[in-house]
Amino acid sequence: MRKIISKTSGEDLVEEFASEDPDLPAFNKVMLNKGFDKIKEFEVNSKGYQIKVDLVNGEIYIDGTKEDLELDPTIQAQLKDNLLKWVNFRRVTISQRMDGPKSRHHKYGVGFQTTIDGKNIKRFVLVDRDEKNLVKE
Amino acid sequence: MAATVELKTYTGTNAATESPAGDSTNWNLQSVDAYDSTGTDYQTNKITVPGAGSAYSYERWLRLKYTGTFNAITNVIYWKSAGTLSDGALIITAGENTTGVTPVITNSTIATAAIPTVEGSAIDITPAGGISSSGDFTDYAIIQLEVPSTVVTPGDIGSQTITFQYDES
Repeated sequence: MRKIISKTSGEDLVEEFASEDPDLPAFNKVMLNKGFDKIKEFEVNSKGYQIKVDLVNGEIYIDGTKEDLELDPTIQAQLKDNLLKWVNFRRVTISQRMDGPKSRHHKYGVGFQTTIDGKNIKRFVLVDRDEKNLVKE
Repeated sequence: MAATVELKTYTGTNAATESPAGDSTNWNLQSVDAYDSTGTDYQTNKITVPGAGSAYSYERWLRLKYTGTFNAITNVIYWKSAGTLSDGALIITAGENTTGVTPVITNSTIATAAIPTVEGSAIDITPAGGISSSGDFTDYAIIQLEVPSTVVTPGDIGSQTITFQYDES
């Protein structure tokens, strides 16, 4: 679970995705330092699904089946030039009871821009960190 | 540092009065235009079942404030994720607005539809200008309780839960 294999770099990125510290800017920095923007493809085993991300061709496969990515042609060209346009994100849900207690639930994933201005990012959740227990704040 | 998010409550003229100093601990719906700072004020500021027609709570104006270090906050939505109303005639309505408008205790012209209860039909409160700097806000989420004359169940309406969801990068 959460095993991430970089076929081109040979680096194991498990620790970053599974980090206890959900600090995204720091996470970005670490990933860039590892040369993640040069990786051509990687595979993730998450929640029972095998996800393969082909960054060069802009394709995503889940359990061997190609998913519709709809990459902008310009972005596709940039991908081929190794000018990768990707973003990793944290999806946060905060549930607030009318009378007080809150809960937080975090998921982590990567997304690919489908427009130049960074909007319309197609997202894929890779790690689901369940923190559903209600906490009085 | 990741983003810090706080739920803020707005009252008064143009919904310009922000409460509390930190994170709102509740969103109790009341018959007064005020944040329930004790969490129990709603018990004395209740909405009485009318003889005819409907009575309403004051609109509850909320929005999220983001501080700390982050690149962007996107896809901010909210919906009612849990809670069963104590009487089938009670209605919670919800809406969204880009600017603050003075809360009303009459039938809202902004919170006009029943609050969505599934993520797929959640209300989007992502501001057009985006959220990319510390101190930025979402648009406003507006919630109101309608109490029709047909309500027969006395007491609390039951604890309701709203969920806000956003993507941080």
